[in-house]
Amino acid sequence: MSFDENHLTFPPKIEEEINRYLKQSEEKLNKWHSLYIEGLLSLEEIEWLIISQKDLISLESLKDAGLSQIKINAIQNSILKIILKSIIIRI
Amino acid sequence: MKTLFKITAVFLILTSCQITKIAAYDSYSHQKTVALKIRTDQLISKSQESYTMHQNETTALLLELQQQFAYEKSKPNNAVTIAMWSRIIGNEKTLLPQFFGLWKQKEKLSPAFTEESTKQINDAFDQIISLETNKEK
Repeated sequence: MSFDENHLTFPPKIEEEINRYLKQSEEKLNKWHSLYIEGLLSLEEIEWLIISQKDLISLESLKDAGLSQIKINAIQNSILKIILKSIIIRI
Repeated sequence: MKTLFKITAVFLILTSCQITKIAAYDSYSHQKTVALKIRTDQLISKSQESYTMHQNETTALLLELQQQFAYEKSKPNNAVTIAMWSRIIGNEKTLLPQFFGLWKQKEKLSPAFTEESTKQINDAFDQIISLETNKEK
């Protein structure tokens, strides 16, 4: 990460993650901001919510990674079944 | 026939790579996670009341969540689910310990926070439940 007087710059990967967080969280962040301004949320409470949103995005990414693994496993099993079937037919 | 055996051997070597393996569906994990989601939701809905009144309930729930996390850690090829649980209950700085810590610190939480945090925590549990449901049965 580099820093100059006027601009804070992030490596592309981190910038991408920040943009993803903001895009997915925009509606919630606006709502929480309004609740905070109205005095319905304390500073600690809004802080917990913001961190929980980051965790939620991380959980969604992990779930997607897991679902991809499940699909790969299913494809592998299908291929294995086809190969075994071919062997049995030829024997 | 020889070519077919070669293809089979290569395929078996490739498929034995740990990177693509994921634990199969576990009905105990599924049911227990759903039950813990409901219990957590019920306890959070009481966070506008005094923490002291619910301290024992909170301690018991955190213990049960830790036990479930330990159970998930004991299963092979379960890295993704373990990583998900670690975001929720992994250490004192994660989602639920932080929530209960805040409740303890403030003694009572605001109605707006209770409503918003309930949605966040339910969503977090839903991600784990959704992955478990989609695992191979």
